[in-house]
Amino acid sequence: MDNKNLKHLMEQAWPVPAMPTGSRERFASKLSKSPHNSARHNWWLWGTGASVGIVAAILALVFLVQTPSTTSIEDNKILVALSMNPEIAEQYYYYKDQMWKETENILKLSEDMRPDLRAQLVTEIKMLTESPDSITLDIMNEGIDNAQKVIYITSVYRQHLRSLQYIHHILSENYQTFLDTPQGSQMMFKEL
Amino acid sequence: MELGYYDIILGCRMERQMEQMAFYDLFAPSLYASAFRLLADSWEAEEVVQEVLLRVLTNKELLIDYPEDMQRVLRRMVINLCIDHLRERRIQWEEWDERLSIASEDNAEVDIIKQEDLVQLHTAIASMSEKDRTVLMLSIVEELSTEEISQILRIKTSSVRSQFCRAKQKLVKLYRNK
Repeated sequence: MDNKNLKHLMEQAWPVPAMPTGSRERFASKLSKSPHNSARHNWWLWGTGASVGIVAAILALVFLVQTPSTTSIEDNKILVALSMNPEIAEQYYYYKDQMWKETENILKLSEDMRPDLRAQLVTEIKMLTESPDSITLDIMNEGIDNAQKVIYITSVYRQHLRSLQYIHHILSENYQTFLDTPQGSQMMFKEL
Repeated sequence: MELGYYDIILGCRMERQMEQMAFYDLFAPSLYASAFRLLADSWEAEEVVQEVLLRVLTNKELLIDYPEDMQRVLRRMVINLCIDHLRERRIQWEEWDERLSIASEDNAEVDIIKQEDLVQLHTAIASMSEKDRTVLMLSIVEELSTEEISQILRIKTSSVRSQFCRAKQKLVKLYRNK
């Protein structure tokens, strides 16, 4: 008898039973728990997290667009411009930091101010803190050398910082009574 | 919709579980048969098959575009793992004296085995040692060449031939004695 016939006989004489029950399910379970597929699962988690983050970012962007503010666009422009000019960026962040501190002080001191006057003050502060940015962008686009740009931009911010410092000074010296009258407030804002 | 082999391989490369399970369905039954014939244990055979399939599915480099080649590679991996399992049972395939096999080869007459004697043949196979049964299964049922068996069992080809002839003789002897 040749091996081929013997193979046939042996296969029949030594039959293979069906695979144990639940074999497929056990394999699926092992597959999902394998480190490789677990890593993939983690990637899914990361992906889901990233998707949630993106959705949150889009919602935040929609909110910002709907909010009547032009500063975010100006801010973005200036941040891009500053990223390309570290020398101006250094001056910008220094003065911005100083101006922010002054603004914080002013808002704290004016908490008890008459609401209409405070609103006027806030508008003024907003203008003082934001206008240098658009001026800075204009200066940066001028065809002048970098050293000149730094001087001009520093000068603009210093001037605006001084105005904020002046408001702070008036408020801290208890000029509340003076500000409480429309004439007094007009005088102060004229001086800025 | 039934997936073709190439769709399955593509899906496996993309780590999609549906195709990975289709890969399992495609190869597991025949691999299980090979594993069972060597190990004679359903649970152990299942374990071997699943381990091999997991190894391939989690290593994209092992996925082959041609089904016949994939089948061959998987079967070889299953057989190797089965032999590892058998070694754990302390089964040794020792080097045999080649001269012993030459004379015995011609005497391995099994023509007497008839279809109706399958039960007796089963008993004969079952009463063989695992060592002999493995060599017979690898050679006759799995149709591996002497060189392939030599590589798997890590013994000389001449020893494979000797062991095969002796195993075949033993099978005949056991059968006749029933």
